[in-house]
Amino acid sequence: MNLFDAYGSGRERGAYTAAYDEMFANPATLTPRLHYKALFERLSSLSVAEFRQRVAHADATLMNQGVTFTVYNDQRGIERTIPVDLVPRIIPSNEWELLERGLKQRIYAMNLFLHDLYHDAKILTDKIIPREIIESAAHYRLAFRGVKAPQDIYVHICGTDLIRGDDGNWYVLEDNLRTPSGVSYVLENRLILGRVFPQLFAANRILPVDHYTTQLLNNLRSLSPNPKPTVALLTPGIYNSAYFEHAFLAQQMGIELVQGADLFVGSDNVCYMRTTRGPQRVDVIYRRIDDDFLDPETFRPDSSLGVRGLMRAYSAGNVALANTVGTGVADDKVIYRYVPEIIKYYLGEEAILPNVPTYCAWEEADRSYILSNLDKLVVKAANESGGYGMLVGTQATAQERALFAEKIRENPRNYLAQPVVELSTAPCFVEGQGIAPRRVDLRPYILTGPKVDQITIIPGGLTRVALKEGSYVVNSSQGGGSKDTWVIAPSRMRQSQRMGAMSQEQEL
Amino acid sequence: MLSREADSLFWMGRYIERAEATARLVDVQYHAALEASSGGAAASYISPEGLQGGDPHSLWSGILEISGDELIYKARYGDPNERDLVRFMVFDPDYPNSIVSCIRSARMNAQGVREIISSEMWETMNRAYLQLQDSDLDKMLSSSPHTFLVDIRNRCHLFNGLTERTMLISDAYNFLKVGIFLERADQMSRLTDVLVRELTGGDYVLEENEDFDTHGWISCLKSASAFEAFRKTYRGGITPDNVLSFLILDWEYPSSVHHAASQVERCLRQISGSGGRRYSDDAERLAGRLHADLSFLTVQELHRMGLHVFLEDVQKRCWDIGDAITNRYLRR
Repeated sequence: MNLFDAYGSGRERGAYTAAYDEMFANPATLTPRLHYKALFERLSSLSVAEFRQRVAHADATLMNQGVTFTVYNDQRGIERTIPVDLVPRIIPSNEWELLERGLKQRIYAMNLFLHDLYHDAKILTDKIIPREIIESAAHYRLAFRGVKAPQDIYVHICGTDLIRGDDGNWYVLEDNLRTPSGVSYVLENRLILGRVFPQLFAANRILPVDHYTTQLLNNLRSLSPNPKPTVALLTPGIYNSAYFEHAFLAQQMGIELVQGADLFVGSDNVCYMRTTRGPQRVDVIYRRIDDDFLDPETFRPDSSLGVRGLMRAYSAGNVALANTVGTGVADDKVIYRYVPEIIKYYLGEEAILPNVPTYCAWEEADRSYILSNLDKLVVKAANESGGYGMLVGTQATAQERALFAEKIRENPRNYLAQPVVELSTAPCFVEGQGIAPRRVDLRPYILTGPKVDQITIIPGGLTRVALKEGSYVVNSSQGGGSKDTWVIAPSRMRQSQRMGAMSQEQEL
Repeated sequence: MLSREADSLFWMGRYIERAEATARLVDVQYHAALEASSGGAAASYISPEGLQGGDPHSLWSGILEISGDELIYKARYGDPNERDLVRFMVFDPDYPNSIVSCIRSARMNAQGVREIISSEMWETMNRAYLQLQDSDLDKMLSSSPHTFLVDIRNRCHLFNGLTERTMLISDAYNFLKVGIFLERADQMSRLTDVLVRELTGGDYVLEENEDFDTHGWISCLKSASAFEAFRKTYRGGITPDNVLSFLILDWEYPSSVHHAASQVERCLRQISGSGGRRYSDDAERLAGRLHADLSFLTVQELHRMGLHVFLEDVQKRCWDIGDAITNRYLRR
């Protein structure tokens, strides 16, 4: 049996026929797009049994390495490997160039926006965004107005979720400007794939991603005036679902991995870690704890994860935080709607990457549209993430829709709605079906620094997969998986890193 | 380095060493019992039902005594029998010193210092844990208990080897090593204590000319993985005094109490950076004193002090050293 035998029938069964397919220009005849041709041919030569063997190999490797995340509502054990699908996703270089330009424009504007918002707030005075929308945003931190962020960078690490619609065009689905996770899977997926499918790499010239941690470390270090700063990654601890990533990044960068209890802030408003040789000053904290839990003195008093007094040290300029406090106001899902205006206001440019059309329940016209079209829309809570607090109207029961309608009427500021976007499909290995289509998105990771206009994006990013047949939800907490994502080098570029690349030029 | 991480490394070292010592002990006792019993009983020994003939009380009670956890066992299982003892020492998830629990604790500590130890060390630890999660008493008894236990030991050895090869020789390394050697000193003194008691019928009186149990002393050496090394050191016969001086006082045998104590002191001095003639804190003072005592004692003096009294004192001193390390470095 050929791996791709059931691909066509899989499209029918999962109701994917309207979606853009990443690999096939014509899925019915299995005609691959040009940039997928070499990969398709290589994969086609494998039997299902051979492929399954690689899957088992990859699973065992991930399990042994402890590349796992924690599931809280699962009775059986708490550790699971995040499913890695071994069919890579390919983005051709011309598309990537567009995405890269669009993302750089977007994050630059966001940093200017946050700086403005926490200083003169001209954008509010000029009535580009209604003041009440900002002031009612859950993550707006008024107390930190005027606090100086080094280099005026607020968001050092950003993960922006992109999707491809049925028209083949890319859209920005949401920005993650607080503590985006998943980048370790980008790096791990590349390693795993190289280990189990080295021959796939030979057919393509893939842009490398492994400079991510070097760039991030460089940026973090630049946040301190100290020429030899102590940089620490603040994690909630080994039971956090992203602990693997925290440990991985700390290890790759050679920085300290600290928990809240390892740190304290002295009466001198300096942050220290408790070491075997007494207190040692910490200059930069890459925090992977949300604002709310960061400092019980300022935010939630019941938080045991954070550091008492950290905001004192931060406001005094004695410790730098990445990302800074209060960035969540800019990825509020209602403010998302205004991002094209934000870009225009600060840069005088049109947004390169469009948003998905968005209706905000707090505006009366939009609200009545949402309420009468619930069965066609996706409704989201403004401040939730991870796929929680969401209603997919097309798949919900009448009862679920009624419940959401009630919530929207009660708290319109907190809800917005978007038409259901037919996320594109990509081939994935599914036990029992061979290779079948599944919906995917793309989360590139964007680093800003050492200056606010210096932006690094590792080519590709994390492709997340909705593994459940027919599903649109790609979050790992909701049964999603991920894929290695390749940006293929344009033919004029020489890739010295990959052996075998030179003889393959004619295939591109 | 962070106190929390030093604490994790110290305990990771202790748990790994404890798991290894327990695996070796269970293995040797299991097979010593096998050899000592008659042919018929030996056959039944390997059956999953456990030992039918023989006298498990005398053969196995030593294991419980070394662990120091006889009461816990009795409360949970009642009278000792081979099957329950193996379950208790290897697989009991609620008994903190079982092999499964030691590996679990070692791994949990490793998780907290994952960015400090090398990926190879972490992966070895993680694989040992996953493999144990996947096995149980029946699987172990129905295949080869020896292979199973040797495999656990080998994983511990692999971890130690990777430590030497891949870990920075830093404070972190030394905290890990202090844990390993302190545990080794403690385990060796317990092992020696219990074995000597077994072999002397409880009175610790050793007469050179008495017709002693060669077989027993050989298995005593084997439980410490010391038999071959002993042969090389003492080309003459196996006498109780030679065995004792080898296990407790030897300069060259890497598992002797003496060697372990000397390494505890050495690692502590590396951490503090203090030179040979001074000590910088209580941990170093106590470790240095234990090391010195073991360097200059003779086996005759051990007898005069009373072997049992001496070995119990070593265990107490290991406890005190651990306490002093905690107070000096690990408390947050």
